[in-house]
Amino acid sequence: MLSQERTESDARDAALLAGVAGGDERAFAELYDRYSSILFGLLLRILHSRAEAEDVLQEVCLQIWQQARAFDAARGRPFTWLVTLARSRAIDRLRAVDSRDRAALRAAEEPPPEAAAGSADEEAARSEEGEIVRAALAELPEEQRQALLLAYLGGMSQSEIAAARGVPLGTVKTRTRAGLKKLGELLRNRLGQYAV
Amino acid sequence: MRHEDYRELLALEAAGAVDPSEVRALDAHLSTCAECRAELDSLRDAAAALARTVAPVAPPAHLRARVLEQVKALKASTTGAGAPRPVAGDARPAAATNVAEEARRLLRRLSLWQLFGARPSLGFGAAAAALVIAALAALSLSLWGRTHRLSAEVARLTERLGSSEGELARERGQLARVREVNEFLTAPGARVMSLAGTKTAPRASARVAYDQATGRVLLLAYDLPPAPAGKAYQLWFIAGGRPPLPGGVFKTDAGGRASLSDRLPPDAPGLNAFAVTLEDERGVQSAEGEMYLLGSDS
Repeated sequence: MLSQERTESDARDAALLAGVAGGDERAFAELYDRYSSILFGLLLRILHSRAEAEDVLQEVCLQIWQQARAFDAARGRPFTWLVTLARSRAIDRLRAVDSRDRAALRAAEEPPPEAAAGSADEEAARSEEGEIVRAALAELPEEQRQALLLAYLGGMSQSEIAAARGVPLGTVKTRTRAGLKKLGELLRNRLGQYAV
Repeated sequence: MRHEDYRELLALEAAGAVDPSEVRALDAHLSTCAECRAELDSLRDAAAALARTVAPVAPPAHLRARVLEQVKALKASTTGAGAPRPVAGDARPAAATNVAEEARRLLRRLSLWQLFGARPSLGFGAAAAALVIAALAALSLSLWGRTHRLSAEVARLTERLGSSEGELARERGQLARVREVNEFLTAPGARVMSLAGTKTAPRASARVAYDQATGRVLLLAYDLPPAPAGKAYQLWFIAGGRPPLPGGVFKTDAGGRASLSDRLPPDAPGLNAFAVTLEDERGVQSAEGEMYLLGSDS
């Protein structure tokens, strides 16, 4: 059931992106309305600053407008394209921040947040797909989950994670890699829709 | 690195955890390996799922309005750039339209990634290369949201279609430059500031794009009077409360236009203004000459 909904949703989003690529402002507005909250939440999570997140969201939107023609529906899901783009810009903004401020942001990152029952995460939990992802994440061995979350949502480099956890760099890389591959497998089993 | 080594990196790339030192090598490999590209796409799907574990937060309402306005403005300027100029009895306007259309069609077939990673094996002929130049020029220039000035720039580039082999080399140089400009302008953190002409040169104007992360600066100036012999214009970096730091020197072309590629001074936090003065053509350490352009971030 969910996998069919996702296929339809993907097709709709791909059509919107194609519209945007053709200069369709209404398609762009619809895409914004559909995904701005998810992207903004992600940016806030990575940047820990409302002002920065607002800035980056604007940049991301303009980049989507400019580069929608680069999206290839045969190669991946629209959601992935949007999220990857947003995350990249957030990380670059994070790295441009003064190193003192960055240390403060790192401090805010420890201990790594569990996808737990805080009121902030309740909204995410309500989304069915979000619930499935969180459940799959919970099945990863803890050190793999931490490494993955710190890298992807925490924007920490592998060296920073290694230093924070007191483990060798190679170990962090292995954990991150294994964690993502396992997550991919679990999601494919439960949602049945991921490419490959 | 062998193919297997690159494969090992894919999950790290999808998780956003590849070492900066390895990114370039990985990108180069990916541009040639479809198998790795496919696997990376699938890993990216898994990584993007993590975004679903974060609580959505509605952005402020005014942001939506602003973004839609900016999109409208960009669209208007891009359309202006590609539209035919009405010149009586001249066959060129129609050709310019067709070229812009061709360029757009070409761009739609190729992803920007492929364009930026273009190898000779893609088989670009002279005409196709010129089309790509026109398309990338339109793409880059649209980011500045200009109107008639840039449409002249694009028309000038598109008019070079049907050029001989001799001009192709120059066009390849232009392609590299346009590509560089485009990469720079789309870099995260790149900011753009407008400079206005002072009383000395009220018609002059300029835009400065700068990126604190990479230190790159690009200045495009318009309608500056030609510098007298022995003199040149100089860019200044101004951080609040401190003496301006010197930037590069430049001269204008016959049309009063100039461009300068420069670097931000490494020790200039709080950079919030730029100025252009007329100085000795070798450049000076502290500004003495008349100020022609000034802009600040306020």
